[in-house]
Amino acid sequence: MTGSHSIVMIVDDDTSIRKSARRLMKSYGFAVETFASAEEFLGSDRLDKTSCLILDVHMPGMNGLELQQRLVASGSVIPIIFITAFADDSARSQALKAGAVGYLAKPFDDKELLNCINAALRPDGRDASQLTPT
Amino acid sequence: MTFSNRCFVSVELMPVNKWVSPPVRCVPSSFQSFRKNATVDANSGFIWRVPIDTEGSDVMSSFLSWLFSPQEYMPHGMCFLWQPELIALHVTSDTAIAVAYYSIPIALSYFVWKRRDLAFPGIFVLTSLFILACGTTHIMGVWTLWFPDYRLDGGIKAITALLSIGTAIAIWRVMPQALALPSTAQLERANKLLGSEIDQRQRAEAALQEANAELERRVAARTAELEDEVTRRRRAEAILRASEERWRSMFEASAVGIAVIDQQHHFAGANEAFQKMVGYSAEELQSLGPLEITHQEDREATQEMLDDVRGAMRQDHPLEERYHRKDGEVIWVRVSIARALDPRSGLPGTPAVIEDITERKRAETAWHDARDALSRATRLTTMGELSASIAHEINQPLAAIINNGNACKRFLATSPPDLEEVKDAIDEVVRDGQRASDVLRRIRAMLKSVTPERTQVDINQEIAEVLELARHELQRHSVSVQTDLHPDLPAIPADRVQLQQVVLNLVMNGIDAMRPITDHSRVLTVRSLLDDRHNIIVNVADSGVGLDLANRDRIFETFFTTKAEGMGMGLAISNSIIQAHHGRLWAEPGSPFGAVFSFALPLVGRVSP
Repeated sequence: MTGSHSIVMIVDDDTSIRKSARRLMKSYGFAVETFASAEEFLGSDRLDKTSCLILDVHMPGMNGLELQQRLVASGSVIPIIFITAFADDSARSQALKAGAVGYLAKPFDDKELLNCINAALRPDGRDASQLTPT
Repeated sequence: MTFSNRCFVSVELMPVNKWVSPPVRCVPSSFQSFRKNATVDANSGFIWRVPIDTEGSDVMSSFLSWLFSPQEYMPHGMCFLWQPELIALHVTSDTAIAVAYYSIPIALSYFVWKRRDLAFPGIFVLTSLFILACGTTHIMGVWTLWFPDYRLDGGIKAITALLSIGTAIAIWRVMPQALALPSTAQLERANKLLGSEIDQRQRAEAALQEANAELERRVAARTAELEDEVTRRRRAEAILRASEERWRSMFEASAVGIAVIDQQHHFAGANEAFQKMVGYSAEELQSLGPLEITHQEDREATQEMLDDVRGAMRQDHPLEERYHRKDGEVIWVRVSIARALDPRSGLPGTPAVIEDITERKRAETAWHDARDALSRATRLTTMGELSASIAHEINQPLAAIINNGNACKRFLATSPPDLEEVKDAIDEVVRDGQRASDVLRRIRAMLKSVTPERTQVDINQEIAEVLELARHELQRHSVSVQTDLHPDLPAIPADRVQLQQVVLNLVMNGIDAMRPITDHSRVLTVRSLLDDRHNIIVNVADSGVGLDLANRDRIFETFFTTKAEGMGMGLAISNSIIQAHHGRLWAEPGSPFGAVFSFALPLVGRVSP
């Protein structure tokens, strides 16, 4: 169920979220790397290694949606799961329209997150948007 | 001629032989008797003395008859041998003399008649008679040239002689008195002297009159002045009386209470309004003072005011305090003592004006309550605007807690359990739980409905709290925050929730102002500083759209807003809060963009509800 080759990348400006999400992913057996901002992630050389991207919507500087646009625009196929503590329907629909695998409101249920990740890691993960929990 | 009874008449006589030797036949018998009585000097042939006895009228009459009896002497012209020249010479001379002699008594008589004030008029009469007689002797000289009436001639000469002698004697007798008469020169001198004396006297009199007139003028002027003064004083008295009556009627009829506080701090006098206000009669008030009827909590201030009055230090600081009415009800009053009276004025006590401000106080309290309620409502509105961000701030730690909790379950389920990981996770759970709690504490502080309270507030700490509360809202709008807080700000007495509300309101306004900004960075700068007038100044500067100068003065008005979704309450309430803290809130254009909202709070400020 878990892919040890797969690396889940977490981009969130909130330290608590980064640490707790990393621990949760680790408990599931995923390899995890965390970034404090979109710029930090883009500036790293880890894009190619990314199996799944757990991305915060609201961040100082480049926000999650902008990062998504950048990735889509650059032809990236990284599946993205958005997490947000901020209820914003327009952001949600924009994210899903742009191909996000999931859009989870913090605090989120771990099973939902796991479902999203699994969907993202499936070979047909690119169509995972259909599996996004509502 | 009248003779005294017996007298002697001295007569100049011709030599006796001249008449003794007429023909005997011519001698009348009466003369014979006369001759018998006359003393005849035998040697000279003159009769010296003839005693005349008037009682012997026969002698007199015989003498007269002798005198006028026809005489047969030769006329005197015979002696001139009738030489016409000689006759003419004598006639002319005697006539001229006679005429001249006659004119003199006439002139003298005229003189005497005219000069009634003449000295010695008798002398003049005698002289006139004597000259008249002399003139007659000269007439007789002419007469005897042709008619030899020598007896008559001699008689006339005798009369003339008598008059001459009498005149001479009289003249000599009056000589000393005549000499004593002042001369004309003396008279003139005397006259002059008199004249100058008169002049002097007249001048003196004139001067006296002038002085009198001047004196009278002065007396009149002074009298007029005194009359004016009396009139003025009467008028002043009337005005004073009218004024006093007016003041008294104002005192009595005044709607505000007026009382006079004496040296013993009793109400020496009280008008009706004050009596009604406190429910005590004027008599009862005389044994009561401000301290007795003042509410326990206000007594210290009252005592202070009374001490100030006694020390004549009080100028015009009305005191608002509570009184106990006689019926126990508590009323609010405003006591004004305009000025402590000069103790030398003799007036007993200090007047005080007391207004019943209970209604005003109630209205004020109601207004404060309303303001607080509105302030809270505005706060709730602001919090409503922040609710999404607040939810975010709570959801973040909650999400972390749940993540950690789920992770722990898995780590504990493994064999062996990864207790190290669990321990780290639980540490984070505690930390995140605390973080969520902090957020809730902030929110609760902002939303709590307790009445405003003054505590010592550290402005910098409140600013930090607000920025934390708005952290996500700022972040959500991509606003970066810069702070420049004065490190040594003293704490000030203030209501911390209200001050947080003001800062939050300014921060939210700044965020709103920067929403449309895309061409430059959105920066919110918060500064705190101390100015040179002991005010704490807080600036909240944004790089937003800036102030509309036309509305710059209106932005603090209630219900004025430039925002589509704004209520127009935020700045008005903030302004009201700052004013209640005796501070000031204002706005200025920012540089190069945006606006700067600032408020100043005095370090030393009076506390008001």
